[in-house]
Amino acid sequence: MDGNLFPAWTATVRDLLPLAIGGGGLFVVTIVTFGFSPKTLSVGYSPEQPVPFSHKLHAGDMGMDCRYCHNTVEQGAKAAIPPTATCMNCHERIRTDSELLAPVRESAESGLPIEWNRVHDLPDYVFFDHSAHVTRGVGCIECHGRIDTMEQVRQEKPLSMGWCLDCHRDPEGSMRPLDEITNMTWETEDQAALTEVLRAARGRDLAPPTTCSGCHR
Amino acid sequence: MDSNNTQYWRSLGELKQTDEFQENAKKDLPEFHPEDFSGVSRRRFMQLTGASMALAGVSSCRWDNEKILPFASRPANRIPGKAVHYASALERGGYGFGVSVTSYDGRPIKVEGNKSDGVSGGATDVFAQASILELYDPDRSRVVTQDGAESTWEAWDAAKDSLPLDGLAFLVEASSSPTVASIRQKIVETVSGAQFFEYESVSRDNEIAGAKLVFGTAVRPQYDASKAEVIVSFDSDFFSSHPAQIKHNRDWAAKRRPMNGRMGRLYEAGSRLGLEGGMADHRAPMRSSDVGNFIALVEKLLVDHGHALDTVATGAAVTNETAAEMAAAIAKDLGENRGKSILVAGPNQPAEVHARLHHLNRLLGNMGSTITFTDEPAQARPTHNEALAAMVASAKAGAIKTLVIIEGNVAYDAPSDIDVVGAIEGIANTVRIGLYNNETSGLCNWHLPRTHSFEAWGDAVAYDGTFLVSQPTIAPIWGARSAEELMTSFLSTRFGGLAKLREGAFIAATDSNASAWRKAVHDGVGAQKALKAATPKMSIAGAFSPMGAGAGIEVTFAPDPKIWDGRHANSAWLQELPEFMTKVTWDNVALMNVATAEKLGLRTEAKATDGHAIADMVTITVGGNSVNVPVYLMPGQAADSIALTLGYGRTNAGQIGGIEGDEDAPMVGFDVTSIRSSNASHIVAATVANANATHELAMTQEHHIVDDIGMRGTEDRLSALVREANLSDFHEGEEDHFRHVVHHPPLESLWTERSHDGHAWGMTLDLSVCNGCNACVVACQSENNIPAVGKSEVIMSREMHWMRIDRYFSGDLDNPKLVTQQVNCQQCENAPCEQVCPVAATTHTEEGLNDMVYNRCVGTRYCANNCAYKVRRFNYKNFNKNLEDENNEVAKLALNPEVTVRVRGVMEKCTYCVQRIQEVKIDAKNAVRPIKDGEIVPACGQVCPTSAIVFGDLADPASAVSKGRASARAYEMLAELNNKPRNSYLAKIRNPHPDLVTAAPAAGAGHASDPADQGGH
Repeated sequence: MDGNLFPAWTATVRDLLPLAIGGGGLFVVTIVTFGFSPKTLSVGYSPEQPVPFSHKLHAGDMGMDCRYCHNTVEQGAKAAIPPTATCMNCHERIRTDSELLAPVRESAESGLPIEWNRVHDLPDYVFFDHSAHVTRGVGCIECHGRIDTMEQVRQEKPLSMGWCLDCHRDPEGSMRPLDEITNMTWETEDQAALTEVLRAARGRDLAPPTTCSGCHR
Repeated sequence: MDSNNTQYWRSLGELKQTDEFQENAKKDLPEFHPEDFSGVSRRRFMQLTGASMALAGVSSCRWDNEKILPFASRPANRIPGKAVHYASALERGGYGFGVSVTSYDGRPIKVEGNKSDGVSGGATDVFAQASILELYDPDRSRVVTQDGAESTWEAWDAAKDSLPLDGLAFLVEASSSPTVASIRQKIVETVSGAQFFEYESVSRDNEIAGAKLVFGTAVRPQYDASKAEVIVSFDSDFFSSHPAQIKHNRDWAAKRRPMNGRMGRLYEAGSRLGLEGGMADHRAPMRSSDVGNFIALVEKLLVDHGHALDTVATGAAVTNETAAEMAAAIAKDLGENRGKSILVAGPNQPAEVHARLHHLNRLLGNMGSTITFTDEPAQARPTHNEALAAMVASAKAGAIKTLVIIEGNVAYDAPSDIDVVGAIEGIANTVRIGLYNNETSGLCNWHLPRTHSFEAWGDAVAYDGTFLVSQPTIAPIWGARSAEELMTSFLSTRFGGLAKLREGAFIAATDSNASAWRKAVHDGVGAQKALKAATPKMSIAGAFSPMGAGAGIEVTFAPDPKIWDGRHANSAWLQELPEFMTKVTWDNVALMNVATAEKLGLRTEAKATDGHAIADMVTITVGGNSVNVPVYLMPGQAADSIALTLGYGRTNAGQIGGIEGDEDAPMVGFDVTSIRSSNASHIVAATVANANATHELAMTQEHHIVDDIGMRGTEDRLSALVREANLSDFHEGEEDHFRHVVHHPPLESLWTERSHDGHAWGMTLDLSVCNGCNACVVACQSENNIPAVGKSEVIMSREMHWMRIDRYFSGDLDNPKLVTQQVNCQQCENAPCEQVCPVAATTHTEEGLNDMVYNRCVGTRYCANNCAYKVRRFNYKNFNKNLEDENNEVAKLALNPEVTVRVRGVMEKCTYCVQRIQEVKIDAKNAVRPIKDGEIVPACGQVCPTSAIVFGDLADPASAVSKGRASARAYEMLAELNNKPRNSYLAKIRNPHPDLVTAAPAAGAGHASDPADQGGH
């Protein structure tokens, strides 16, 4: 009886095993890094809403200002989904028989809220404040993308901590004049001059917090 | 300086350096108790984790989708997620208290004091803080019950109409509400034979009777401590459970900060070492029944000093040497401060004592200056004990056919000689409306759920006469009705809420102006006081013969500083609050003088193996009834006097306060009401015996011992943790007076020191005015979503309070001096905790906060181990797990949405209420304006009645906190470790009478001998 308990091909396996382990490890790391990243998991998230409200139509084609509906964005942490009453300001007269608007009319009548699906959902341990951003010169577009082109709202940016910090560490390229906050098409040629203007308006440097309790409490 | 030679100790164990104490002190961190995690075998654990991994794979990679539910029509000016503050009011025992309720998206989450209320002045006590937990208590009664079975309001309404109205009686809680008074009046007028009986087990009836003796009519004394130079407390509750204690504390604090070499002086004579005794410059422990004699002695000495008094008191000779010496000093001081003193006795003292103090106050010229009077609304009513006895007599005579009980809990707290249970059972129709379906509801045919103060319109009058409007801040959670609604239903009219309130209210009587009323609702207070000033005429004092107190052991009763008369027994925050003097949680104890206890062979000891404290039980017998209570050997407790508090041993309080026979809801503490009778509900002679039994106590006393260089260094160190001096040895001009107590070599850092030119947050904590009232501890718990953990966990040192009050004794075991010290995170600039965290879960901000990032924390506990102040708390369990229970869902509403709720395995600690800092910072920056000094107030500082806690920006030299830190009294705790704490303590300054200062060491003499001292200043 010869002494070979294992067939010859196992020698090849043995030789390849370190490679497989190393490669497998690398594979897992790659998958976790890129596959589990908010860039992969969150960007593009676009749930269907109970009312197919089109931002493209309202904010884009008709040019309504974001703050007509999201009117608390400059005063509070929450931009706030508007109350049904805001919709009814116009839709009491416009498209009063539209099938798509039935849930809105129902809500206005019953006083019960419309249950919207949250698209931009930060973890509960993050304390984001809209007012702190829009009153400093960070435009809506920076975090929400071209909302004015979206039929159905979609998450454009990863909203991950690293992504937040990119801007908090170097806010300059993401700032705009305070009267252009909701403008989706604004661009500047002279960033340096703009920074100066913003600095003068606030009387201090742009210094967003980069320490933990800036966002976590 | 005095501080350096003072030996401090926290407990008898520490004083005697018992083996048990040393054993306990060696442990920096609470011990590991493996049995506590058992129950899941390793194999089962792997199964579970395997399963959850698999499930994680199956479910989506995203977390659960969230819904957003906007209003259909948003109320005007409502900004979602922005806190709004509403003025409202609370009431306890017939005294209102103005509060400001923080409401977040329509749900109240925090209570602060109402600045416009003369009593509150913006501060609160522990009860007001805990009222939020009570509002959302899952054990609150939710449904109408009839004979124990679930019923409905409709059924009650129908049944009510068939109740016989002849023989209608109401047993009510005390109420200061003008609206309730007017409804009562109307019922008496329209329902013939209707009777009202008002009962509270904790009363100030002796005080009222005392005023009646002197003035012929009851008037309410209003004290102005800010005008007083000398306060003498005779067994009083002036700074603790008095309905105006917050005002007293606020006024007196102004006199306790040395100002140009002057300070007020406080004397205390009494049996129980309470807040008053702790704050006092001089204290003479004596039995409560000997206080009358002591007053007679003071009076006699005043006469001897040539102060013309119209009569001379005759009392038994005071043999106690400490007391005699103190009486001489008091007499001297009072003579020198005519018109600038307050003599005050507590509710336990008999009417004669109160009467006598009115005379003395008049003779000393205090009336009209430090003491003024207003009407006393309780003037016309019988005493509470008389009222209850009359109710029982009336019931037994068959005169009561229908009894309506409003709140209260007579089945538990009635005096033992009044058969209230038999009387109620004998009445044909009984109904009780209350917040909880409690012991008394169990005796009644019907129980009706009552609204919380924050759920209904109401009004109240504060002790000083401030008219308070109680505004609802949330709709009744369980569809309850208010007591006003129930009472008006007997008038066949509806209680019209706001309109009714205004109609019956005091405001309407004086001012029918609609805008004035709107302002009153907005501010929470009326423009005029509801109590008129009184100038009572005083009868000529007769001879004063204090009650002849025989020798022997007395027992004194007092409301519990945490749960009052038991009404707050189901509050986990209050039950777990370490009592300020004993540091006992979840229990009541019999306070005994050490010598008295040792005579009976009674001890309270910590076990050698861990921090468990075992107390011997004592049997106290009064008039044939006995109770067994665990003993607590209390330094400073008068010999032959045993102090008991009320409110414990409830048989049907709830899941927290205990339900008899329910293993999951063990009863808390021991009921002492059976030895409290109607003619001896304050002080009573008793016989005591060793019960030969023991009871385990959960005491935080020796937890988290600051033990920096081991046990040998503890004694030296303690005198450096708290620093104090006598006024005569302290010089305001001298810079760094107290920082020099500890000598250390020049401090050099291993790290590059941080520098930042923005805000630098800091805090000063004033030991001179901190009285240890605990309000900050509960406020912190409420603000920061800190869980209560339960008695068994506290025993294992797992309490979660971010802020604690350390209490140190010094001096004589029988009459110790006391220092209280608030300890929260010191926000060290060179934080030892940050240096050892392997995952950077605790890091530093530019502004000087020591951040704690819960989501990074992996629970190594290295930081807690390395913290010199022992202020870090670890979640050994998921203490919020019970909130997932469907029945407890409502309790989630009490959580502050601005603060993360922590889970098991995470370290947590104080961050100076960073959520409040951020809120103000964002608001200020939005408006492009600087932050004003005092605009950011952490929860602890906001509730403090004495403003002992001041927070602000150290980078601003004009801020209050910078001035405090620069003052001569400032020092930093353990600064010699180069931690650079942002907390500064302001040393305690005592103001002893020069005649009573014994061998004061010369100023500057004898610095602490630190082995590391190489002369570097």
